[in-house]
Amino acid sequence: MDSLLLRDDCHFVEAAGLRAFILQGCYLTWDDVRKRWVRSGKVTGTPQRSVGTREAEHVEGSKFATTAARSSLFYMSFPDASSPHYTYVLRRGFRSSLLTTYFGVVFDPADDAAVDYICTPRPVSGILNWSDEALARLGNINFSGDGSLRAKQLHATGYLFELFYDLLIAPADNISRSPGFEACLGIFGNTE
Amino acid sequence: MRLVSPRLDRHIQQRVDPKKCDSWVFRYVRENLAALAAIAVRFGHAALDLACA
Repeated sequence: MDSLLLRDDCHFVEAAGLRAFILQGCYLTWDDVRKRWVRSGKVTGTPQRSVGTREAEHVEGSKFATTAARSSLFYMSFPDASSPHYTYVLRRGFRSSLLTTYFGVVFDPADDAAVDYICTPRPVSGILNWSDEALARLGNINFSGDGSLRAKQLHATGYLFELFYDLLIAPADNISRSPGFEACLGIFGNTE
Repeated sequence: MRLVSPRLDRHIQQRVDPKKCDSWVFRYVRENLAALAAIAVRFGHAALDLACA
Protein backbone atom coordinates (compact mmCIF):
# COMPACT_ATOMS: atom_id res chain seq x y z
CA MET A 1 0.00 0.00 0.00
CA ASP A 2 1.30 3.43 -0.90
CA SER A 3 1.32 6.53 1.22
CA LEU A 4 -1.88 8.53 1.02
CA LEU A 5 -0.12 11.55 2.45
CA LEU A 6 1.24 14.08 0.01
CA ARG A 7 4.49 15.92 0.57
CA ASP A 8 3.76 19.49 -0.29
CA ASP A 9 5.74 22.28 1.28
CA CYS A 10 2.80 24.61 0.81
CA HIS A 11 0.58 22.65 3.15
CA PHE A 12 2.84 20.97 5.68
CA VAL A 13 4.30 23.39 8.16
CA GLU A 14 7.55 22.54 9.89
CA ALA A 15 7.19 22.29 13.65
CA ALA A 16 9.67 24.99 14.51
CA GLY A 17 9.82 28.29 16.33
CA LEU A 18 7.69 29.52 19.18
CA ARG A 19 4.44 28.10 17.87
CA ALA A 20 5.89 24.58 18.19
CA PHE A 21 5.92 25.21 21.93
CA ILE A 22 2.28 26.27 21.97
CA LEU A 23 0.48 23.87 19.66
CA GLN A 24 -0.77 20.41 20.55
CA GLY A 25 -2.30 17.66 18.47
CA CYS A 26 -0.78 15.43 15.81
CA TYR A 27 2.71 15.78 14.37
CA LEU A 28 4.43 13.92 11.56
CA THR A 29 8.00 12.77 11.08
CA TRP A 30 9.61 13.03 7.66
CA ASP A 31 12.71 11.09 6.60
CA ASP A 32 14.77 13.68 4.73
CA VAL A 33 16.99 11.07 3.12
CA ARG A 34 14.43 8.57 1.89
CA LYS A 35 11.86 11.29 1.27
CA ARG A 36 8.95 9.65 3.01
CA TRP A 37 6.74 9.92 6.05
CA VAL A 38 7.76 7.47 8.74
CA ARG A 39 5.63 8.19 11.79
CA SER A 40 2.77 10.16 13.28
CA GLY A 41 2.66 11.19 16.91
CA LYS A 42 0.30 12.77 19.43
CA VAL A 43 0.88 15.34 22.11
CA THR A 44 -1.82 16.77 24.36
CA GLY A 45 -2.40 17.41 28.00
CA THR A 46 -1.32 19.38 31.01
CA PRO A 47 0.97 20.56 32.42
CA GLN A 48 1.37 22.35 29.15
CA ARG A 49 2.87 20.06 26.57
CA SER A 50 3.45 20.84 22.93
CA VAL A 51 4.86 19.50 19.71
CA GLY A 52 8.11 21.28 20.59
CA THR A 53 8.42 19.68 24.00
CA ARG A 54 7.59 16.26 22.55
CA GLU A 55 10.22 16.76 19.86
CA ALA A 56 12.79 17.54 22.55
CA GLU A 57 11.81 14.30 24.32
CA HIS A 58 12.35 12.39 21.08
CA VAL A 59 15.79 13.93 20.63
CA GLU A 60 16.71 12.76 24.13
CA GLY A 61 15.13 9.35 23.50
CA SER A 62 17.27 8.83 20.43
CA LYS A 63 20.32 8.98 22.70
CA PHE A 64 19.05 5.89 24.58
CA ALA A 65 19.56 7.31 28.03
CA THR A 66 16.87 5.01 29.41
CA THR A 67 16.04 1.34 29.06
CA ALA A 68 12.60 2.27 27.78
CA ALA A 69 14.15 4.29 24.96
CA ARG A 70 16.20 1.26 23.91
CA SER A 71 12.99 -0.71 23.37
CA SER A 72 11.52 1.91 21.03
CA LEU A 73 11.54 0.98 17.38
CA PHE A 74 11.38 4.68 16.53
CA TYR A 75 14.60 5.44 18.37
CA MET A 76 16.30 2.28 17.16
CA SER A 77 15.36 3.18 13.60
CA PHE A 78 16.66 6.74 13.89
CA PRO A 79 19.18 6.86 16.74
CA ASP A 80 21.45 9.69 17.67
CA ALA A 81 24.70 9.11 15.77
CA SER A 82 26.75 9.41 18.93
CA SER A 83 24.89 6.68 20.78
CA PRO A 84 26.68 3.34 21.23
CA HIS A 85 23.38 1.48 21.66
CA TYR A 86 21.91 1.26 18.19
CA THR A 87 22.16 -1.71 15.84
CA TYR A 88 22.62 -1.67 12.09
CA VAL A 89 19.85 -4.24 11.75
CA LEU A 90 17.14 -1.79 12.77
CA ARG A 91 18.71 1.54 11.88
CA ARG A 92 17.17 3.39 8.93
CA GLY A 93 18.99 6.67 9.43
CA PHE A 94 20.24 8.98 12.10
CA ARG A 95 18.13 11.33 14.15
CA SER A 96 20.15 14.48 13.82
CA SER A 97 19.69 16.37 10.58
CA LEU A 98 17.91 13.48 8.86
CA LEU A 99 14.43 13.77 10.35
CA THR A 100 12.12 16.75 10.19
CA THR A 101 8.98 17.17 12.27
CA TYR A 102 5.93 18.76 10.72
CA PHE A 103 2.60 19.75 12.16
CA GLY A 104 -0.20 17.40 11.24
CA VAL A 105 -3.46 18.73 12.68
CA VAL A 106 -2.72 20.94 15.65
CA PHE A 107 -4.52 23.40 17.88
CA ASP A 108 -3.79 25.93 20.55
CA PRO A 109 -5.31 24.55 23.77
CA ALA A 110 -5.70 28.10 25.08
CA ASP A 111 -7.80 29.12 22.08
CA ASP A 112 -11.37 28.67 23.35
CA ALA A 113 -12.90 29.00 19.89
CA ALA A 114 -10.64 26.27 18.50
CA VAL A 115 -11.35 24.00 21.45
CA ASP A 116 -15.09 24.61 21.03
CA TYR A 117 -14.79 23.68 17.38
CA ILE A 118 -13.14 20.39 18.35
CA CYS A 119 -15.28 19.48 21.35
CA THR A 120 -18.76 20.47 20.17
CA PRO A 121 -20.37 17.53 18.42
CA ARG A 122 -21.35 17.62 14.78
CA PRO A 123 -23.67 18.67 13.34
CA VAL A 124 -24.17 21.44 15.90
CA SER A 125 -21.05 23.44 15.15
CA GLY A 126 -18.09 21.15 15.57
CA ILE A 127 -16.02 19.14 13.14
CA LEU A 128 -16.02 15.76 14.87
CA ASN A 129 -18.62 13.21 15.87
CA TRP A 130 -18.89 12.71 19.61
CA SER A 131 -21.33 9.91 20.32
CA ASP A 132 -22.93 9.59 23.73
CA GLU A 133 -20.93 6.39 24.15
CA ALA A 134 -17.63 8.10 23.36
CA LEU A 135 -18.30 10.92 25.81
CA ALA A 136 -19.44 8.55 28.54
CA ARG A 137 -16.42 6.31 28.10
CA LEU A 138 -14.04 9.25 28.03
CA GLY A 139 -15.53 10.53 31.25
CA ASN A 140 -14.45 7.34 32.99
CA ILE A 141 -10.84 7.46 31.82
CA ASN A 142 -8.17 8.90 34.05
CA PHE A 143 -5.83 11.13 32.09
CA SER A 144 -3.30 12.28 34.64
CA GLY A 145 -3.91 15.90 35.49
CA ASP A 146 -6.81 16.36 33.08
CA GLY A 147 -10.11 15.83 34.82
CA SER A 148 -12.51 17.84 32.71
CA LEU A 149 -14.42 16.28 29.86
CA ARG A 150 -13.12 18.91 27.45
CA ALA A 151 -9.53 18.12 28.38
CA LYS A 152 -10.26 14.45 27.84
CA GLN A 153 -11.81 15.23 24.47
CA LEU A 154 -8.59 16.96 23.45
CA HIS A 155 -6.65 13.86 24.40
CA ALA A 156 -9.01 11.74 22.30
CA THR A 157 -8.71 14.20 19.41
CA GLY A 158 -4.93 13.92 19.51
CA TYR A 159 -5.17 10.14 19.43
CA LEU A 160 -7.74 10.33 16.65
CA PHE A 161 -5.56 12.39 14.33
CA GLU A 162 -2.45 10.41 15.25
CA LEU A 163 -4.13 7.17 14.26
CA PHE A 164 -5.73 8.59 11.12
CA TYR A 165 -2.43 9.97 9.80
CA ASP A 166 -0.74 6.72 10.81
CA LEU A 167 -3.19 4.92 8.52
CA LEU A 168 -2.22 7.20 5.63
CA ILE A 169 1.51 6.43 5.89
CA ALA A 170 2.75 3.61 3.64
CA PRO A 171 2.94 0.53 5.91
CA ALA A 172 6.44 -0.35 4.67
CA ASP A 173 7.70 3.08 5.72
CA ASN A 174 5.82 3.31 9.00
CA ILE A 175 8.08 2.57 11.96
CA SER A 176 5.32 2.72 14.56
CA ARG A 177 3.91 -0.49 16.00
CA SER A 178 1.64 1.25 18.47
CA PRO A 179 -2.09 0.52 18.51
CA GLY A 180 -2.90 4.15 19.28
CA PHE A 181 -5.27 5.39 22.00
CA GLU A 182 -2.94 3.88 24.60
CA ALA A 183 -4.47 5.62 27.60
CA CYS A 184 -7.99 4.72 26.46
CA LEU A 185 -7.03 1.09 25.85
CA GLY A 186 -5.27 0.82 29.19
CA ILE A 187 -1.80 0.49 27.68
CA PHE A 188 0.91 2.33 29.53
CA GLY A 189 4.67 2.61 29.40
CA ASN A 190 4.76 2.76 25.62
CA THR A 191 7.67 4.90 24.55
CA GLU A 192 6.64 5.29 20.95
CA MET B 1 -13.95 5.42 2.61
CA ARG B 2 -12.76 2.47 0.57
CA LEU B 3 -9.14 3.54 0.87
CA VAL B 4 -8.95 4.11 4.60
CA SER B 5 -11.36 1.63 6.16
CA PRO B 6 -9.31 -1.41 5.06
CA ARG B 7 -6.22 0.23 6.52
CA LEU B 8 -8.02 0.62 9.84
CA ASP B 9 -9.10 -3.03 9.71
CA ARG B 10 -5.49 -4.05 9.06
CA HIS B 11 -4.23 -1.79 11.83
CA ILE B 12 -6.58 -3.36 14.36
CA GLN B 13 -5.73 -6.85 13.18
CA GLN B 14 -1.98 -6.35 13.34
CA ARG B 15 -1.36 -3.94 16.19
CA VAL B 16 -4.23 -4.24 18.65
CA ASP B 17 -4.50 -6.87 21.36
CA PRO B 18 -7.41 -9.12 20.30
CA LYS B 19 -9.04 -8.52 23.68
CA LYS B 20 -9.23 -4.80 22.87
CA CYS B 21 -10.34 -5.00 19.23
CA ASP B 22 -13.96 -4.28 20.15
CA SER B 23 -13.05 -1.17 22.12
CA TRP B 24 -15.24 1.87 21.77
CA VAL B 25 -12.25 3.85 20.51
CA PHE B 26 -12.36 2.10 17.16
CA ARG B 27 -16.07 2.86 16.81
CA TYR B 28 -15.16 6.46 17.60
CA VAL B 29 -12.50 6.40 14.88
CA ARG B 30 -14.88 4.87 12.31
CA GLU B 31 -17.55 7.44 13.12
CA ASN B 32 -15.04 10.15 12.30
CA LEU B 33 -13.26 8.74 9.26
CA ALA B 34 -15.17 10.89 6.80
CA ALA B 35 -14.57 14.05 8.83
CA LEU B 36 -10.89 13.20 9.18
CA ALA B 37 -10.56 12.58 5.46
CA ALA B 38 -12.22 15.90 4.70
CA ILE B 39 -9.85 17.71 7.06
CA ALA B 40 -6.75 16.03 5.61
CA VAL B 41 -7.83 16.85 2.08
CA ARG B 42 -8.79 20.40 3.02
CA PHE B 43 -5.34 21.01 4.46
CA GLY B 44 -3.72 19.57 1.34
CA HIS B 45 -2.20 16.73 3.35
CA ALA B 46 -3.85 13.90 1.47
CA ALA B 47 -4.81 13.10 -2.08
CA LEU B 48 -8.09 14.50 -3.31
CA ASP B 49 -9.48 11.07 -4.04
CA LEU B 50 -9.26 10.23 -0.36
CA ALA B 51 -12.47 12.10 0.32
CA CYS B 52 -14.25 10.66 -2.69
CA ALA B 53 -13.21 7.04 -2.40
